Amino acid sequence: MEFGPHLMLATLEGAITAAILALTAVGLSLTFGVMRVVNVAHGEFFMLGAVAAWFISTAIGGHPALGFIAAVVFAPLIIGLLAASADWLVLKRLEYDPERTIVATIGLLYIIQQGALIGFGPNAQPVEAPFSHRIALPWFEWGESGFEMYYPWGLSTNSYKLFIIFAACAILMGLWVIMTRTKIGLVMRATQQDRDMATAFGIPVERVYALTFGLGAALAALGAVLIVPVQQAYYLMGHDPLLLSFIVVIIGGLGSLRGTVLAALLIGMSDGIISVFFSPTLAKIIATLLVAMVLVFRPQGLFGKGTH
Amino acid sequence: MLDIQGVSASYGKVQVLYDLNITAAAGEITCVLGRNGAGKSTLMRVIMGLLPTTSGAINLNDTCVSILPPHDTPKHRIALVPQGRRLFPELTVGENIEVGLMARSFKGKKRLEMREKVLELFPRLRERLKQQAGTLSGGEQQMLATARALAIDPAVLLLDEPGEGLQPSVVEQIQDVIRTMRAQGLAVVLVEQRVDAILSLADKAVFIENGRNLETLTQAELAADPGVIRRNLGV
Repeated sequence: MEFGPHLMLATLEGAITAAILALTAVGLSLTFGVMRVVNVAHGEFFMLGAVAAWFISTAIGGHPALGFIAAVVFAPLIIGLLAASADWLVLKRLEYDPERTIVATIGLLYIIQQGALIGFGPNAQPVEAPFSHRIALPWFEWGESGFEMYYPWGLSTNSYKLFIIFAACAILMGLWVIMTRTKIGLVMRATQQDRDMATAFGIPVERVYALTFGLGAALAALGAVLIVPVQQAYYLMGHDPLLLSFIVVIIGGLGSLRGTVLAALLIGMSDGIISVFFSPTLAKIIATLLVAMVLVFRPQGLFGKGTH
Repeated sequence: MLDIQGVSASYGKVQVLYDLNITAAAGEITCVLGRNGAGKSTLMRVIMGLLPTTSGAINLNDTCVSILPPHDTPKHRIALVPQGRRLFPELTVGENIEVGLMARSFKGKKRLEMREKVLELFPRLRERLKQQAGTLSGGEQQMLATARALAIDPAVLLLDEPGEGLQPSVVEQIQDVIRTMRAQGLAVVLVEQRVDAILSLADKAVFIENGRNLETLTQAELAADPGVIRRNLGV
């Protein structure tokens, strides 16, 4: 395949990575932004989302679409409730102290991971996509009679991969509407900006924290449900999303949702493209170098506002 | 009436309030005075429930508010205008007022009425409803902090140095609003350092020192001997 069509395929793969990364990283950013908690167990909620999707789709059986729809609804809900319970049982008792919650979420990471190993087993499990149609992609070339469109051999994607991108965009738009146009979004933003004043104006901050922690985990789980038909459910699959989410959140600016989405686009696309043309390891090396550069030259992130 | 009975409070192991007794009657302005570090702002935090009492009680009419969860305090119509304004800087002016309205769960017609009421008090805020609070001038921020507190339709209004760092015209406007609130029957608790403001507003002055009651004077006693303020504050 020529370079142009090859780049187009790589860009498409990058867009899928970016879409899932944006969902996962926005969850992490939300948790940090509102609660000032660095959730090291965030990748495990992603993994649990994939495992829950496998359990639900296997239990329901029948047409893959039925299992997928049930997984989209119930997996984020279950994982969100689990995370909210973890907040209530662990983080609240530590009074959301930034240092102690890091250690606590490291513990949570291992508990969830080993729990998944015991309950789910060490093998990767496939989840069938609800639909998957091959879509041939066109390419344009300057020929004797001007621009000509043709379908190069091998330049194709499938409908489910395109659906992932659109679904992630729709979910992020929905989140933006919730954060900017609803009462609960206002409550979360007020809590983020001044916890004491939020309390003084009747906001039950601890309930907002539980909701935020649950929502952050649910977003990661939702990302996993979307991607698991393309990848597979595996008990160690939370590592990469955690690393990339931290990279994205640091580059985007801690707590900045807009910055997180833009950084996810940057890192996801570059990860996808570099992985296709070179290797996934090189993509991670470059992303980590970018983080180091950002930390040196702009510690608050590209879109962060620094400390209040 | 707000009745603070024998209240003590600590930051960790450091005790900052010792057996404080203050009453603030409806339709009166009670000034709380003291030198820096006397515990005035801590007292405001304690009344709001942001810092728990270690002993004593805070009663509003027949309800003991000091045993309630802190986020329930505004539901009992106690509102705070904190020192330094402490607005939600990235929320708009309208959203800051909305947070105040939400504290009492005002809905529908009542919500609109309350919103109109506070915007009538501070017309300049109406022009800036979509502007981020952090981008307002100091005076406008103080108006917004006051409007946000009044949006809960308080029975008790706590004001912690509302004139700090503001130009005289804005201070005058804020003082007019405080007088209006007094006339409407609110119990106003005002932490103030400036002698002229105290003399012009206070119905009662409570001096505290190192977290303890020092002296309580009526308006008549203050007027008879204004020098008492300077002596007690060391200014």
